[in-house]
Amino acid sequence: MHRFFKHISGLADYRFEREKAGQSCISFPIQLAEDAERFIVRTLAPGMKQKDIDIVLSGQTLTITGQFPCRAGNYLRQEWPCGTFSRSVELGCRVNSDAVEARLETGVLTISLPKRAGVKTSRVQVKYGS
Amino acid sequence: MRFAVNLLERLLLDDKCRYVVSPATDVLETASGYSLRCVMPGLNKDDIRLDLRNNELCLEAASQLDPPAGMQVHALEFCSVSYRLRLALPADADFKSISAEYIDGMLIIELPRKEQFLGKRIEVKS
Repeated sequence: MHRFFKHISGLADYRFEREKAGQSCISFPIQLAEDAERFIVRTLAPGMKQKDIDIVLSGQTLTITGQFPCRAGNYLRQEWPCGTFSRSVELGCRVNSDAVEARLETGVLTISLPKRAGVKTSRVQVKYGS
Repeated sequence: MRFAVNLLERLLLDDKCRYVVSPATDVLETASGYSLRCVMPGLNKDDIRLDLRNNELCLEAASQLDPPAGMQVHALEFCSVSYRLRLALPADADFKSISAEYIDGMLIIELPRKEQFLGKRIEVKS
């Protein structure tokens, strides 16, 4: 049930973000996953082409910006907004910016960010008692 | 409460336990007819079923947007869903000329308007 509401809110968040930001930009819904070697960030960018998307990596912050163009004609019903989409993601550790790869396929943008050498994830053992 | 949640899940889930949602849809009126744009990222063209029944457009599709397997997930704001949509079409649409194309995660359906009959002069034969 939680997953369903997450999905709905992910797709509908743009409206609230737009209201909050005074119509300036709309938020992308994201998926962020990590393993020992890399981060994977996925976002929905339907209707966008490669040229419409801008990805900036600044330190540990990844910012994705995209433009969804409006079409000419009289809208009888509009459920998907046009304009600027944007989202920033804090990765939590430094990545190798030279090896970042992005792929746009069927409206889904997948960004692979390999972790910098030397950054290791370690599991901390929790001790019980004194 | 548990009963209500079970009932709601049965109504909202498809046979593969994906939540059933209606895709965000834009309907535009153009000079030549109507253009529909359904936002459905992450699909294969072959997984989309589009039928026209009694002036009603019926759409069914399922997306594959689960997070990468074997990775630790920190944010999950969308997932695989099953799309279903039923849309009544305008009476002046030419249903025989309907066409659909799946581009960049959007299903674009073009529906031209019927040619309007403005009348004609009838020749009288003797």
